[in-house]
Amino acid sequence: MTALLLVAACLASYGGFACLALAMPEHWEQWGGGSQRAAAWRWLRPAGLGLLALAYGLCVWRDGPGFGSLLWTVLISAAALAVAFTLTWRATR
Amino acid sequence: MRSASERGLKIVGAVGGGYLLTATTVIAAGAVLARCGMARSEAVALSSMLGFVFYLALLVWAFAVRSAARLWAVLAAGTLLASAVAWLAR
Amino acid sequence: MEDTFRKSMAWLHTWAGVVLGSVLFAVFWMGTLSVFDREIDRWMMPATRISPAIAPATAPISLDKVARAVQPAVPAGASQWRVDLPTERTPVLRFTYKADGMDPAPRQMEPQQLAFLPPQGTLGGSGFIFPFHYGLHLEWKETGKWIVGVAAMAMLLLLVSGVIIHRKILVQFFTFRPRKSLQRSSLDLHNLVGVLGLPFHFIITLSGMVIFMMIYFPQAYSGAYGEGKKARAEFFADAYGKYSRPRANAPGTLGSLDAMADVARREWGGTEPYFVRVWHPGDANSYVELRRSYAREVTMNVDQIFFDAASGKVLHRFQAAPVMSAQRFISGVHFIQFEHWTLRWLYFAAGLAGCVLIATGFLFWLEARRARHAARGLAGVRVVEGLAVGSVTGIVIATLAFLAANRLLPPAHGMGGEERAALEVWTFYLAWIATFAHAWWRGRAAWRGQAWTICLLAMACVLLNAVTTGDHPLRALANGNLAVAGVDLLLLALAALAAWSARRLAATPLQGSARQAGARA
Repeated sequence: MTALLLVAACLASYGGFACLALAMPEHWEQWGGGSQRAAAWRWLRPAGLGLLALAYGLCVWRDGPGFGSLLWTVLISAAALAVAFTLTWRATR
Repeated sequence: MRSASERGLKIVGAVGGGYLLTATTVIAAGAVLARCGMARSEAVALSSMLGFVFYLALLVWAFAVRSAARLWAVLAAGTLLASAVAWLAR
Repeated sequence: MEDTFRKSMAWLHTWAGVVLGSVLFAVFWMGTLSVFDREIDRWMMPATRISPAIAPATAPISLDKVARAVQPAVPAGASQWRVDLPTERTPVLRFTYKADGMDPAPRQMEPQQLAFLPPQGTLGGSGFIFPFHYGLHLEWKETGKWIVGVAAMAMLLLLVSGVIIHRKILVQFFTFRPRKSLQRSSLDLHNLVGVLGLPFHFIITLSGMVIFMMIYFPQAYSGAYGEGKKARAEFFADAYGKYSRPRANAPGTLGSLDAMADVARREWGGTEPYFVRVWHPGDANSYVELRRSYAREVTMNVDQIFFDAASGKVLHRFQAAPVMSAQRFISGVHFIQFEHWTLRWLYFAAGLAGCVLIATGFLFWLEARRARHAARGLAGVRVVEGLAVGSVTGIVIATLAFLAANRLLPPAHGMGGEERAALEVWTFYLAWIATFAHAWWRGRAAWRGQAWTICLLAMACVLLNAVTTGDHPLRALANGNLAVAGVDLLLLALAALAAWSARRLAATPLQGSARQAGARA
């Protein structure tokens, strides 16, 4: 169960930042979304923030408020970096 | 262009004088909080911890302020004020 | 107005970085390694590689047996002896004592028979690497801790100023362009790691200073408590807890420590004590101190109970008050003494990110100034470059030399335990000095040479471990010695990274030095 919650928290953090990244025109274009302002942009940012909030909830559920807050704080940095490296890797292909 | 000695004076002021002001304020805050009813050790612990944040804010301001004279004036006045408060609240 | 503020912050960021970058890298490097200091201890002290299959950390240990086991090693008239009980990451017990003017090196005991292990003759991760992190091993008048404190405040300033001067912080939130020039890609990486790791960098730095608040604000108590040593001691006792009573100078007995531990466990809702300390052993006024383990919580609690040694009667209890508990929580966020492997690995990664932050800062400054300085015939870049190489790749080489010396020096019973430990430390510093000399001699090319040295040394350490102890990674994993396998595997990863960096540096055209050579010709 704790392993599952951790995986879920990691995915939610990664997904959250992925949404936030795609809500930025430069990265949206990189992903081949086209240069026009897409309808997706309206919900990408709230979705991203929502996923990050979900990740926090999962961390606290798994480890309690003290450890959970600490885990989330470090986890989201790792997730954001992972998203950045994913974008870089895609850009250099 | 700012001269090297004026810059040097600013750095000494910001770092050294800023620390003196911060340390005095921490002492004063500990005394005041204890007077206001907080347990003495709690008051000192709280002031000490907040002292780091206070020093950081002070340093950002100190390195941004334009004239070294103004910097020294504020630091001196602040330290005097904090010392007075600490002495009154002891 | 806005522009001048940014300019001041840019000046501050650059100079704080150049002047204190070396200290900061050392602190972050040693700090990152300290996350796994106990694991490094296992690697450096082969006799302590006790497999969890043989002696699980959860096996209960009788404190009375411990007391009987250490009795012969406690000199008459000792003021205290202390045994730290095994934990998940430290499978051995740790015995220390204090007697007239003596403060001998700690001894390890194995957990099953409670026999003393032979002196390991090394300071290890917890004895060298960890104290280096917070005090640079400069103990005179706490100089080292003050330098680290100044560096820490500078780090906070660097973070704040860095955010202020990063014009495109939101637009470039996820940007990293590794294929561009070294100057551009190191700035990108610097900004990326700095911004995305901002919560960690800020919290770890501030929490580190909060731990030493009594050192950095030494007079803080004087407003509320008055001046002087007695007032300071009063504050310490109120905040952290303190109990003592003088000797009776008459002989006394030691009652059942296990009974005292039972009392403590009941009061602490089942949590175990993590060490036992006996004050004035053998005296009628002897007393026993037990403190509650913080392996399962973030807060490094200071819950303590003191018992009369002979009767086991409770003499004194202490628990931190709310604000001090917050200080202990903040300390715990930094110390990470708790059992939580995910967090431990995340902190390790975050610490490495901090090292990358500082290193890329140096790289960017060097690349940005190189051409300008060469054109004006200034030596600045050459000096800072030597400093940067020695501080970054140099300290890594020194650390690897330290590990290699640990495996190469004859075992402690061949020479005195403390002499052997000192030789390891000498190896560290001599290697480090050599890297600075090499860096100032070779200039820009030193990066590559030292990267290759790291690669070779790291592989040599893994080989030396296999040859001198037989615990190569596969065997270590099979025995459940995850610590040893982990250190070896990370060493191999370091070797791979160093090799990749060296090749990447070779591929980058040496623009700067070519132009320098041209200018001189």
